[in-house]
Order: sequence, then structure tokens, then C-alpha cells
Amino acid sequence: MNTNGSATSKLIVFVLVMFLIAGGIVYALGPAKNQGYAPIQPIPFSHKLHAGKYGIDCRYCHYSVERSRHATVPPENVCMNCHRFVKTDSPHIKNLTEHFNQGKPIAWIKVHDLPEFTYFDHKRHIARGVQCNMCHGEVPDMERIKQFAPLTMGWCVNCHRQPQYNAPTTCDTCHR
Amino acid sequence: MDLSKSEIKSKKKYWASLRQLNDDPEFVELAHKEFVSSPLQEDSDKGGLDRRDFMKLMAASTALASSACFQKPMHKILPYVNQPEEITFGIPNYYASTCGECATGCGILVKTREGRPIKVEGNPDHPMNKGALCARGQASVLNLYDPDRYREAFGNAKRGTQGGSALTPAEIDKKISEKLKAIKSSTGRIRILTGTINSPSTLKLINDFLSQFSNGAHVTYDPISSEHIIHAQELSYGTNVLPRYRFDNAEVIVSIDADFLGTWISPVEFTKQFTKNRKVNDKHKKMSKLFTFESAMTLTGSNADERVAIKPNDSVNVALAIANELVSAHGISTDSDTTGALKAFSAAKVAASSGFDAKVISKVAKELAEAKGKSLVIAGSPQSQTENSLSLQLAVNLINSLLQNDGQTIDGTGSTSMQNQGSYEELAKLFKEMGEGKVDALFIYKSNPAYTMGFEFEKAVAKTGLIVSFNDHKDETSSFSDFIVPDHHALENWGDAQPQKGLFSLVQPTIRPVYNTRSFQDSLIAISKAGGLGSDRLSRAKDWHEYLQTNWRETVFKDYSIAVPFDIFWESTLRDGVFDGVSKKGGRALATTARQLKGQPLLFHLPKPAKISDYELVFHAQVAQYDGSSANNPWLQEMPDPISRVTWDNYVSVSPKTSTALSLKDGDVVKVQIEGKTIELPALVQPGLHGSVIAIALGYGRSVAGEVGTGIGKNMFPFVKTNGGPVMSGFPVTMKKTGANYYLANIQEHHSMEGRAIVKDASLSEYKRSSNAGNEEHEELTTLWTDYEYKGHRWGMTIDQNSCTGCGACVIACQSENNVPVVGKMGVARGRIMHWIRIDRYYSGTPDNPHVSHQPMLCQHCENAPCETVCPVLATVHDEEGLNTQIYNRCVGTRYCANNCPYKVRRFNWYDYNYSGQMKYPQTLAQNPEVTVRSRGVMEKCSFCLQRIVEAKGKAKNLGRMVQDGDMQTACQQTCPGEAITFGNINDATSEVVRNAKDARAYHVLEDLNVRPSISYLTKIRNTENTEQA
Repeated sequence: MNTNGSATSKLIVFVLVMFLIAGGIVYALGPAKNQGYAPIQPIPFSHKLHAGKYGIDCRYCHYSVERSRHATVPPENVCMNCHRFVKTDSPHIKNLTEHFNQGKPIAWIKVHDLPEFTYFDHKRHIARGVQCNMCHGEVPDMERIKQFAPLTMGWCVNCHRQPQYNAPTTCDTCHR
Repeated sequence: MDLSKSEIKSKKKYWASLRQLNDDPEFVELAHKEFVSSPLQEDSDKGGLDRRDFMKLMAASTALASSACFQKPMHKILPYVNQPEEITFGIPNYYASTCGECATGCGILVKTREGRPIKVEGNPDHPMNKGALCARGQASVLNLYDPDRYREAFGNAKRGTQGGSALTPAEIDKKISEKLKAIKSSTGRIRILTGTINSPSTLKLINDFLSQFSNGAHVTYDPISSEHIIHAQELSYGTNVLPRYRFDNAEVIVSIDADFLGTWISPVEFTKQFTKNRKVNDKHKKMSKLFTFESAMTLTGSNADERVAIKPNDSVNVALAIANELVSAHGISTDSDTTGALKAFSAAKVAASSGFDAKVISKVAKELAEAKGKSLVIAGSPQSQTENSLSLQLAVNLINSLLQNDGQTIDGTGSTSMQNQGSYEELAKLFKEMGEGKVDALFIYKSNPAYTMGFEFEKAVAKTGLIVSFNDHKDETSSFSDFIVPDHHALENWGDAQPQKGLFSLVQPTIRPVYNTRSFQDSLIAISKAGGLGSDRLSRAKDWHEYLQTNWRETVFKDYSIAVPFDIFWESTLRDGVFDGVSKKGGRALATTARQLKGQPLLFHLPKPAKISDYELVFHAQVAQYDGSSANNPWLQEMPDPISRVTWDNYVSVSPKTSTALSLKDGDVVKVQIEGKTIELPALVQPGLHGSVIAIALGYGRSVAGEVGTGIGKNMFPFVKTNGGPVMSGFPVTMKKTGANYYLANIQEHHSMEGRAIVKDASLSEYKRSSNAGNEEHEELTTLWTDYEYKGHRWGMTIDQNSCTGCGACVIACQSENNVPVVGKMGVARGRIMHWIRIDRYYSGTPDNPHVSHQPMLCQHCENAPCETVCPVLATVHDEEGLNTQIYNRCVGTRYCANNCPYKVRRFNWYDYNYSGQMKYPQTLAQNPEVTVRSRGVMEKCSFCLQRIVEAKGKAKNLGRMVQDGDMQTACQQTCPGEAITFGNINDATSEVVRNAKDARAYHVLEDLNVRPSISYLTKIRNTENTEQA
């Protein structure tokens, strides 16, 4: 009876430890999984067309990038600046116009999704002359927006550690 | 650990509680324990998991959870459809407005993010509060999001209960206006009952509305009232005003039961003025002197240089004895009748009655006489409102006139106060009318008579016609109303205010109404329009906003002959938030003219002798709860009382003498008999209370307030009597111990720092002799290690204990800024209060009349931080600017750091307080998006408002310079009415923080540990000859 009992508990401990190890491995690999993430968006907006072919400046739509820590997805009235007149027969533009007229926002799927305890600041990076493509890749070539960089802490710190950038590396730079 | 061997003990004995003073074994045990309670004990009685089972389950679930976590959960972005031009996502907008929490009318700046207010701060341009705000003002933003606000208008099915069918605005207007039409045609009576309204446009609107009826009247009533002051002003000077007091002009202040630093009329303004004359340094060793004669122990008494405990019924005799002393011993002459009458009130007699040294009276009189024209004698908080309250006020007026203070420290003719104008007398008249069945319609706005007047209101209501409540919160009065038409919160509404004559400010909406409410003013306009009741001005106005603008155009704009077009004037006033008409006409700072005493009203109102009894009961206002109107605000309920440090309750304060006589301990329930009525409440032993006095706070015991505020403490308002004004003090009572026990969540003994030199104080005479008086042992210790070289900024703080009054505004400001959660009464009882900054209160001297020291205690951001060395995961580390940072995502919750912190300022999230517990949606909308919302299992503490530092640094970097003084303020510093806190860059030799830290009064708390804190405290200086003297 006693021996049986201890064997069972040994087995339980073994299983738990194995789970822990397996969990640990998966966890270590976890954060990088979002690199390359390119979900299908409610409207197939093409950066390749807008930023690539027509060469619209990133800041035309993501206009708060120089003033705020958020670059923000543009409000619909920015889309409508052009699409009131351009390509109004496309079903997607019709969809957009319908949302706009009904005062409904479009539920875009967040691609570059940092955890809530991380306070990344677009404004400061732009002020220091960091180019958009350093973190976002060649967006003008992307038909559908894709996460280019891993956006993990290790990846952030790699840049911050480069002496030429003279960037802070203390925890409270991003965590507060 | 035996502290007595290793630590430098303070020369003087300071104590946090009587249990500590008496070395009570319970206290000793508590002080030696790191945490007040353990979660294991807490769960053991619930038959829950034990620790080992828990660990096993945790291991398995972690493994399972992480193996399933391949992809982060999907989040969506919902951008604006039409983004308003003024909104940049992530950048706050500030709107100037006026605080609607009480009728004091302080100017505020409302910080909004993406269209929702998240923080309220004082408006630096407002000449009254000059950027500061009290705890209640800071907490007002949470009231906006209160889940227990009325969400729509409705009609009550039956009086006395709540509940009925929701009504649309049109239905409401139709139903009410039809009844009003009938009242109009039958020349019936309509009454509007409100609290003090300092808005000139609302007052005009009410008058316009009432003018439509042949018999309409506006009744103003405040549960905590200054009626006797106004009445006495009229008798003494012939002017029916509440004067504006000028503590900044006063060198000697005598307060007879007027808690001007805590709850009296305009405490933020008064604290600003008072502390202005309390700032000392090596070159300026002069400060004002404050004497208090108090029956309850208040914030003002705790800041007094000399405090005398009196019986409430002796307050009038104290005033008359001072007057007598001035006339008889200091050659200040008055008419012979008064001189003769005063002779009956000798210092010896009153001193014998209250049991203090008669020399105090002669000393006070001497100091007053020496500071003629620069002194101020006041009385007026509920504690002073005995049967003889009017005589007391008349005596105070006499003294101030004899000393020629009127026109110097008392402004009775210029910019007089429009705050706290309510009248119990008028309310009594209204109730009489109602009881006789003569009132056909009663509108109630910003008043809760069913709570404060209870039975009398219920009786009067039975014979009253239509009753409509416009209150915005769930309250007792609404139950007795036929219709509830909820008002907007002040942050959702337009409006204006004139807190002092000639000083105007605007109220502007900072958010679209959270619920389906309508402003009181719009309701009056709509009802009058729907009924076609006829007022010209009302039918012309499109809405309240237009009415307001029209009124400004016709009054302020015209009266002050503004040169610019009205639209520009309106826009600029809206931006500034304030229009100071007084300065425009000749200067607010100028003294007003002195008034002549009219006859000898005092002779006709000499005090009647009080009934002799074992115990005299006083009611007093509490800093956080005041009149109980914000009872449903969890921040305010959890804010510790500045003196007793109790949260979530009211209680009977008894003196140490009484506690010995009745063998009472904290929490022993006593039965107090007040003129036939009884009440049972727990007792709390309050040092400094007179032996025959028991004191109970008003503002508790709300029966309908919402989920948080209902049923906390007991309601004392039903015991208030009316006698041409309220009687709130001096009741003869008997008291008995019941044997029952009740737990009071008192936090002063938590986080105890035992007998070490933590607070330091010295007397002014000692300080004049030597600048480091009281701080002789201060020494910056050396270290064997090479110091870290801070190349850029290095942040530091100084706290001037001379300017800190202990009001607690910083506690709530910090809570609002940093998303500090509320833990509830049981959480507090278990030692888990989360405040990042607390204000410790220490006593010194004898329990019968102790000196009090208030000390804000927050993370000291030590250079050699003991917390950092013990963290096994480096979750708390130093940064390059001297901050001790706490990285939540790294923290695994070992709590070693809290164990090792000598200041006891680290707080652990035992539960997921932010998403379960006292805060409910939509209150979570008040959270600051720039600060992480901490979840269960992590440690947190003061960050020196890191988010504000980051913002200021960004702005400075863009300008190519370092952060300078004035670029940023921490939340606690920003709101401090005493300007006690200085924050800045220690590496900048010109900064104020460096100047203060070099002062001879500066020391670090527990500096002998050589943890090298970044915060310096400045020794408290009391204006006495000797600190040991009571």
C-alpha cells in the first residue's frame, strides 16, 4: 500500500516536471511567433498600392506618429478624403462608405500588438530619425500588412544597446 | 530583530498610537510581523486549498497554459469614424472648469484622454486655490463614472421605495408641466430646495422659473452650515454676508472650533494662505502662530502651535474670556456696557470649567494685542455650533473689531464669500409649510434632506404635492420623490460659479454624458417650455448653454465693460477657466474697509449656561466624507482619516481619560444616549480629546447611496437640532459599554517604523538659536564604494513638514494618477491598503494633549536600495536617473523587497483588485492609460510619476535642453495645498529641490541605515518657546 502510494506520487511528480520542461521550451520560443503575422483584414487595404504605387507618405494616414506615442490607424474620414471620389464603384470602397455614413468604425485586426505593460513611443523614435522601415519593413511592397520584426524585448534592446544610437536601456524606458 | 541596540533612537518619544505608547503586547507583535496578516490564515477557515496543493496545481496549469500559447490573442483596432480635430490619440487635452464636488468652487483643469476625463487638477490660474485641490476634488472624477448614478429619468411607483418606469425626456416634461400648469392656475406654492448654489446663472434661472408662479421660493440649505456666522455678521455689522478670511495677512490666528485646514468653508484656499506664512529658512526665521481651542481633534488642531482641549459648551466662554482679557489687561477700550458684561467671563472661570491653565487665555490675548490688525479669530465648524453658537460668533466679531482685524484679515465688504450660504432656519420654515400641506410642488437639487433631516422630512413629505428630485446620484431623497430627473455630473455640464463676489469661473463639459441624463438647468427650461408656463427669458433660451452665455453677456461682460467682442471674451474665459473681476476693478489683494460695530448685539445674546453632564457630544465633519454626499466613492471611503487613520467607518472618539474610566479599547461598542435617542457605535481612543467630550463624525450611515456607500457607519444628522441655525455640539449625553466588539480598519499601526527618529521637530525659539534645531544628528554618511556617476538627470524630492498639514489630497491625487486600486475594508484590515503615498501621523508629548506631526511617506528611491538587492528576478532595479524602478512584468511576487524595505512603502497585489472588488465598470474608464494596471501577484510602489517624467523629458529633449523646474510636477506635488513637496533634478544646482535639500532642516528618514534616500524631509518647526510644552 505504502509503496504503491509513493510510486503514484513519483509518477505525478515526473509528469509535472515533464510538463514544466515542455512548457518552458514552448514559452521560450513563444514571443517570436508573431513575426510574419499577416491576418486577413476586414477590408483588403493594400499598402503596396497606396504607399508603393502612388507613393503616399506614411504620415498622411498615420499622422499622429510625430506627435504621439501611437501612430494610429487612420480614422475613416481620412480614407474618405480621397475615396469620396476615387474608386467609388469598388465593393470594398462601398463597404467603407457605408461604414462611414452609418458612423460605424471598421474593426481592423491589430498586427503590431505590444503587451499593455510596454510603453513604446513612436514620437521619440521619429524625432531621433528612425525610419519607419527599420521596424515595419518594406511596407510599400506589402499587399497585406505583415509584422516584419519580432517586436520582442530582445529585439528592441539589440538596437538600444548599439553605442551609436545612445539610447537608454533601463527597464523604465518602456515599462512603467 | 532587536532595534534598540542598533538604531539611533529618537531623543523625544513619538508614538503612532496609544498601544505603541503603552508598549501593548499586541502592538509589539504586530510591529515585528512583516505583514499584518497572511493569506493562508485568511483562507484556512474557508476550507480552501492548502499551500502545497496550490503549488502543484499552479505548476500543472502553467505548463498547460504555456503549451497552448502559440499565438497572442487577437486584438482589434476601432479607429474614429470622424476624428475630432483637437484629439490626438495618446495626447491628453486639458479643459479649465470648476469643481462641482462642493459649493467652494475651486478652479480645476480636467485632463481628458480620447474624450474621457481621467484626472482633475487645480487650475493654477484660479486666484482662490492656485492649482491645489483637496482630496474630495481629486476624487470627483470617479463620481462621474459611478455605476450607481441614475442612468435615466423615471417616475417612482410609490413614495418611500425606489423603482418605477423609465420615462423619456418628453414624457417627463409633459407629466411635470401638466401638474405645474394646474398649480399655476390655482396660485399654488412651488418650492425649490437646493444646497448652496454659487452659480449666478443657475440662480437667475431658478428665479426665472419661479417667477412664473405667483408663489414660488428658492430655499437653500446645507447640512454643514455657516448660518450662525452670517447671522452674527448681520447683527454685528448690518451686512448679511459670509466674510472672506485672509489667513495670509494674519500673524496670529486663534481658531475656536473652526477646522479651516480641513473642512471649513474653503479649506484649500485657507491652507494655501496659512502655509504661506509657515515657510521658514535660514534667512527667514519668522512664522505665524496658530492657537486652537478645540472640542474634537481636527486637522487644524493637529497643526496648531498650541492646542487647548475644551468642552464644546465652553467655546463661547473662551471667546468672551479672551475679549475680557483684551479689554481689561491690554488697554483696548470698548463701551462700558460691554466691558461690564465681559467681566463675568474671567479666564480663571472658563479655564477651571474646561480644566486648562488660565494663563493660556492671557497669553493668547497678549499675542493678539501685539498683532493688532494682523491677527484673526475664527469659530464656526459644527463643533462650535452649540446652543450658544450665535453668542460665540458675536464674541468673535467683537474681538476682531477690537483688534481692528476687520478689513485686514476679514473681508466683509469686498470680495465676500458666496460659499456655504445654506440656512437651517429657511429649511425649518419650508418643512412647516410642507407639514401644513401648503406646498404643491417641491423640486430638490443638490440636496439630500431625506438623509440629513430624516424623520422631519418624511413627515413633511406626506402632505406635499408633487416632488421631483434632480439629484444625480442614488440617494435617500429620491425614494420620496414622484419623479427622478437625474442631473449631469459637473464634468458633463455647462455652468458658471462665483465662489467669492466678483470672482467668476466657468464650468464646461469634458465628456458626452456617460448616462442618459439631462442637466437640472435644461430640465427647468424644458419643463417650462413644455407647459408654456410663460417666462420670457426661459422661452427665448434655446438651451442652458445659450441661457448661460446670454446671462454672461448681460452681466459680467457688461458690468466689467469688457473691451473685446463677447465671443472673444467668452472663448478666452473658457480657456482660462476664470475671470477675476476683483483684480480688474482694483485688486483682490487690497484690504477692504473696516466695518463699524453696530450697537452691542452681544449684550442681547449673552450665552445661556449649559446643562452639566458627564459627557458632552460633538459632531464634526470628516475630511473625506464631509456631508456624506460622495459616500459611494470608494477612494474617499478608503482614504484614512488624517487624525485617527481609520478607513471605511465612523466611530465614537473618546478621550484616553474616558477610556480608562470605562475601560474602553478601540472597537468596543458603546451605547450613547442623546436626549432620549440612542446610538451604538464602536469607540476609538483619541488622544487630545477633552476628558468630558465624545466626538462622532457626520457624513456616514447613508442608507441609499449605492453598492459602495450604503450602510457604512452611522448617520448622525438626525440628532442635529435646529435653533435659528443648526445645533451640532454640546449635547449632554450618557455613554455605556455594551460588551460587543467591532473591528475598525485603522492603518496607523500597520507599516510601523517603531521607535526610530522618523519625524523631527523643534520649536521656533530653538530654531532661531540654531538652524539645525531638532536635526542635530543629521549627517550624510560616507560609503566605501565609489558612487555611481549620474550623467544626466537625477531625480529627488524634498518634503517640508512645516507646510504639510496632513490633508490627504496627495493620497487621492496619487491614486487617481497611478491607477492605485481600492481593497475594501477587509483588505485594509489585513494590512493591504495599496496607497503609494500615505500620511503617517505621529504624536509626541502626553496623550491628554499631544503634539501631532504629519509625515507623507512614499518610496524614498534609495541610492542603496535594500529592496533591489533581495529581488531574485531583478524586477526592482535602479535606473540611470536615480529612480528605483519596479518592473511589473518581471515581478514574480516573492515579496522579499517589501520585507526588506525599511520605509514600508511597497504594496503587494494580493488579488486582482482592479477588475474585481470595489471598482466597477465604468469606473475603470477613469484609469490613466499611461500607467500599467497591475494584476494579481505583483509588487508596486511610488514611481515618482515616471510617466510624467518621461513626458517632460521628451518635451525638453525636443527643445534641446534638460528638464528644468516647472517642466513637470508629480501628482502629489501638483495638488498639495501647502506646497510642501518639491520635486526636481538634483544634478541641477539651481533647482529648488537642491536648495531645499541643502537647508539645515533637511534630513533623511532612517539615514543611519545609509540607504541614501532621494527624499529629504525638512524638520517641522512649531511656533512655541519649547516643544515639550503643551
